[in-house]
Amino acid sequence: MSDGPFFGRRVPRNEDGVLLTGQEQFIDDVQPPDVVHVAFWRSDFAHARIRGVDLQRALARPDVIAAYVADDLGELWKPGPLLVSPPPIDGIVFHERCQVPLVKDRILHAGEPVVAVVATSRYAAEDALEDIRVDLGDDPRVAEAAVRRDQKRTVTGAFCPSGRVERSLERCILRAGGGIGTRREELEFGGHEFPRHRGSGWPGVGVSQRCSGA
Amino acid sequence: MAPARSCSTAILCGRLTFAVQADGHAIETVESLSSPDGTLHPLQTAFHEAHALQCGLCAPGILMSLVPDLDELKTLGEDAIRERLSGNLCRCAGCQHIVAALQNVESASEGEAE
Repeated sequence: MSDGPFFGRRVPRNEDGVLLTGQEQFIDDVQPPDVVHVAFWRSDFAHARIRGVDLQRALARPDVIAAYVADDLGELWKPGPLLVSPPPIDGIVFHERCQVPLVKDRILHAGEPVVAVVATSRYAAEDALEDIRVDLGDDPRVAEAAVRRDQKRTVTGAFCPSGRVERSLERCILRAGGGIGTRREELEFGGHEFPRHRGSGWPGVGVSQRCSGA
Repeated sequence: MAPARSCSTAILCGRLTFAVQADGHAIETVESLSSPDGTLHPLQTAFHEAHALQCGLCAPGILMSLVPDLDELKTLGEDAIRERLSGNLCRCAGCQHIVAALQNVESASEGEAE
């Protein structure tokens, strides 16, 4: 097993030299002239509807240069590219749901960015986040999933009004007697759409399963 | 104020220390650790050999905070080494390798002494 340059041998790292002697540059070491800094207001809630964003106090800060919400991006606003293709399964229903730069109306996972604040320093930008008021509303979604092979038990999954995802589609399936590996054909849905989290698990992509009524 | 270099002990090791607290003191950073001819300090060598760093962000702080302990490391057990490391956080290579590196320093410095 010791043939070749890698198998069965220690491979010392080339990058250690600069890292161990302080010669490496990290982003914070790079200070281009006239650079400005951005910080993002991110949602604490996994599921909610954005009713309004108040940027006035943040914009009034002397060190804040600008603040943007999704609508300010105009034509620049668009979901990112699909980085991972769906698995090659016959008949799979795949709705592309890539990450968006800023959320327009519906927050689909905790940590989604809603506002971008630009300021003269990183500190100023982060401080300005404290002055942003985002009015979040309930976005209740109720969905049902039943598993055919198990006496058509129906379990309701609710994305509860507080914004927390109380029961996901997967949880519904498990409760209805299905398990990991339950196939789509074995499921019946109440005609609801389950908006999967953008970007959950896969880089840059989420899946929305439109669950046609039984 | 000069840009905060991540490798300065006063800043990184001292993510817990304000620069003003070092007023009037000499500040040694990891840049001073190796010899002028480029020979690595035993701690640096041990880190390299044990893969005790990945991104390298925490390494300067750990190295500089343990320089005073170098001669003592050989008599410290694993628990004590972990306690010495408790002011530092590594979030990618894993403290396991760092502990291994520090235990290997013993032989490195012994080798030098002989």
